Amino acid sequence: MKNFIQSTYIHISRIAIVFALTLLLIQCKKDTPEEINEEEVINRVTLTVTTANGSSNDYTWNEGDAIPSITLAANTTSNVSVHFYDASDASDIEDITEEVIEEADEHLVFYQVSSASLSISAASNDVVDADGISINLKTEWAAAGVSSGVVRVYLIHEPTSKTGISRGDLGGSTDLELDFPVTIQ
Amino acid sequence: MFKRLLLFCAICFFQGLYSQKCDYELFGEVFDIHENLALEQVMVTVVETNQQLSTTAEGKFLFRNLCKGQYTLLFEHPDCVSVTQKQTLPVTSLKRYFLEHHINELEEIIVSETSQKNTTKTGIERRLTDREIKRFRAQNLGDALAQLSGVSSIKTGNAIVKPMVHGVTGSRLAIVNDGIRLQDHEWGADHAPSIDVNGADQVQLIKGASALKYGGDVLGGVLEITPKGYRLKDSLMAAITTGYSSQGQGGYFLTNLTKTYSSGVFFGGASSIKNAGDFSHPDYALSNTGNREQHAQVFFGRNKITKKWRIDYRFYQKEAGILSSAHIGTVGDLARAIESDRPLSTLPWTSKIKNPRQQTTHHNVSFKYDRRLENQAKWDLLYTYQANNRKEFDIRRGEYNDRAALDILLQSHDLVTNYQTAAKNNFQWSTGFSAQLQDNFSDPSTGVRRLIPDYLRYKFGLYWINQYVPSNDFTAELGLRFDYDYLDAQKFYKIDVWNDRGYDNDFLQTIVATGNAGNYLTRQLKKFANFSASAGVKQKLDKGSVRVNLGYITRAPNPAELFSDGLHHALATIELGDLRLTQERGLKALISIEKQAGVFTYALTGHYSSIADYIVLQPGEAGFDQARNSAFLVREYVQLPRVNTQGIDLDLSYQISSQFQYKTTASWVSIKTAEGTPLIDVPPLNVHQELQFRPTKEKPLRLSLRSQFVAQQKQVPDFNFEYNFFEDGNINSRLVDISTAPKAYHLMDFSIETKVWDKVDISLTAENIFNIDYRNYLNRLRYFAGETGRNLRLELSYIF
Repeated sequence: MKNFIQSTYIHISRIAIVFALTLLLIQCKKDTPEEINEEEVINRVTLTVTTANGSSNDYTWNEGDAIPSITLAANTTSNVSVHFYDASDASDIEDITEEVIEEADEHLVFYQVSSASLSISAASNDVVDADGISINLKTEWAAAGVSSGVVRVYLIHEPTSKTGISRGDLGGSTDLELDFPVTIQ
Repeated sequence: MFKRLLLFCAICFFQGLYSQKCDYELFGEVFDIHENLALEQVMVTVVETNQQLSTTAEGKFLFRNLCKGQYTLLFEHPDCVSVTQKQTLPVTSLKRYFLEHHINELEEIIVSETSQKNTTKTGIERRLTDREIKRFRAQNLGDALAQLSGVSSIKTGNAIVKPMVHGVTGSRLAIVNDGIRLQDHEWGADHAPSIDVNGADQVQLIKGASALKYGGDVLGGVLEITPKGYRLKDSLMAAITTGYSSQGQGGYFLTNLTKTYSSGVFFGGASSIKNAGDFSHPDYALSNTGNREQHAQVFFGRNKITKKWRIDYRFYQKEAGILSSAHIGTVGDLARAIESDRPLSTLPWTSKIKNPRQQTTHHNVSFKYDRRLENQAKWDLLYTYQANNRKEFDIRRGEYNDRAALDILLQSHDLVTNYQTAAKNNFQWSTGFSAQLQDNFSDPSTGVRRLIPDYLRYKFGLYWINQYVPSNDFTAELGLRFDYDYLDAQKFYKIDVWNDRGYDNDFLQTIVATGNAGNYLTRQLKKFANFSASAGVKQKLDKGSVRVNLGYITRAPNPAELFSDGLHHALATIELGDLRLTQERGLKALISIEKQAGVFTYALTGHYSSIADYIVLQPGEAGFDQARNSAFLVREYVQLPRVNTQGIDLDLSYQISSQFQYKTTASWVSIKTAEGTPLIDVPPLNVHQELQFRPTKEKPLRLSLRSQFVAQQKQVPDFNFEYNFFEDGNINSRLVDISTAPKAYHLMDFSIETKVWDKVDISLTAENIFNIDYRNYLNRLRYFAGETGRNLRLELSYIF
């Protein structure tokens, strides 16, 4: 028994030394972690509406805020361009629209209109992808009679199809989905 | 030889001549050195007199009419290495001899055989047969384990499969690979254990909390994977297996080799490579579901009767694509997916894996030393280092697309030692100590907020287990364990989130600094002292046994539960941990009856548990992330005051005739809060059946028909939410049914196995023969697509 205790003691102490050394090798105090500044989030969207007479209006949504209402004049066509931003750092606002343009093949802006007498189509100066399909960053909004409703704006990433009438036809994932109330007067 | 014969004759001659007093007796018993169990049917031969006897059920033998002097005894047993030993007569007392008893490799029955090494004496254990391990070696460990009663698997797609026991998983279940608990397994439901079935020799499940040796926080059970023991003889065992699966158009190539020497030295290795492209549903492709897996293992060691050591290195890497239609960005995508019968993103078939994908790498080095001391006590020591890395690649923009969105490196050092005494006065006890150091690092270069913060964790455990075996028919076991868990985490909190959660009041002193990007850097020190206990009895019956097991567990919240802070793209869900979580405490009782009645063998296990402060991930108060315009669902870790679980597992086998054998396993479990609200992700009733046909014992031909029935889970919590669908120019608000479980399904498999050219095993398996379209409640991607259709698999295996 005494032998056993001795041999066990020797074994345990040897192993304890090895273990202790290993523990020393890996740091026992960790470095302070680096702060991460996420740069890919889209938390600001601006719709710039330019009427036929050249006057222009910005409708901007910021994450956490209510979505602003868009007002259009009846029987007019306006040019609307959409911009996406990462405004996490107020002093360094990133324009994500540039990346969307760079990767036009993998992106599509999609609009749906409810109730309002409004039809939306791609503008002639819109950004097109490698297949010549407009990605709807610049659009023409043709307002008809007095009415009100909602325009839903989607930014779709890696759509499986760029032609379709409902969101489900297009595949991919939705980076952003915003409902802008719209009034035609 | 001639000399010896001459001597032998001479002895006989003198014996006759002088009629020396030759009425001595040699009364002995033979024991297994590992188990300290009596060995039955050991052939004992007195070489000099050629007397031969077989040991009784108690391992005893008695030779009469021996003379004074030295004799040579030869001990032989089919499962042991033969041993010769000198014995001088006369002896006055009962002599004990030891043999090294090896694992019986041909286990065909469901109830554990005594020749197999059991981890507990009174615990309820189930084991995969060698054939089941073989059948699943090309698949996931999770799929293989689901063959055992009480086990189900929770999946993320078809490649990420995680075992679940009695409806619980993660930290409530221990996966022990060669004596050490896998640490990465706590990373959440979408992380499969880094174990390749090809490297596993013995896979067993210990139900409930009875295996205190591996931890006191295990409510579900312990899944134990252990290597085989090797015989002290010269041998070479090697096998090469290759196969092809029609699903995923994938192939696999597995090898393993073990060389053993009579000196006890052994070495070997195993490797596997598995590749698969996109899988498919009966009606559509499951885009981006391919996966690649590599595994390698080398080991080296020496086995002697009294000493054993072994060094192991394991490497495991897996890259799995995540179903492309499951990559969603908003709650709207989730709502549309649920309302659609088909996935909304389907791409042409490819073997390429694109983003989103997951890449896990696991390195494991272990050293194990076992020693048998003179007093028949045993002492063992185990050290393991594991490095687990997990990277997730998401669909991102620009330069970020090639950069991981999640990159965690978890390193753990474990040291475990155990001392077990010899049985004395019907008592036997063992005691042990475990120490762990864990270092978690989340790489900031991902540019995405850390899901799990950087932390150091120290854990110490001390346990004591006592066995009382007053007779061969009754065993009682009592165990106690104490654990101390210390966590030192450095975590960034967004200031608004910090304030929203009211941390400013309770954790103000943990703030270390305020960062430039609107975060507080905090240092969270968490200390938990956990006590657990287990008691069990086993009573042998006529051809069977009854076991009763009672366990008390304490589980400290794990880092994911405390600190999670991030977005799960597949479910458009933000998961939030809670700093206020405390320990979960529970009581679990199991009762099991195992019996063999003629051609029937069955085991019925009932279990019940009651857990206080049960930690669960469920929708937060608002349900949505308001700040992001309700784009994401929010799930928070909360503590439920009381949760009760109950269930039944059944194992049954029926030898219909010498040619037909029928086997079934079934399990049912219910998990509810004290108010009767069911918990999410609880496995529904499932029944596995197998009918096996072997035309003759001589021929290796074997046909089997298997069926799996899974009922619909009706006990589901209500997590439905409202969404404004845009349809034909109208906005319609509707409830999205995220809660109702998929319908019941029944799948059939068929396989045919035979041997050709003596050494080549060939098998053809058809899975989901009828190409059934079904969805699995326990698949987290069930909202986006159905399960895979028919699969045909051909496998060839050459055994040296």
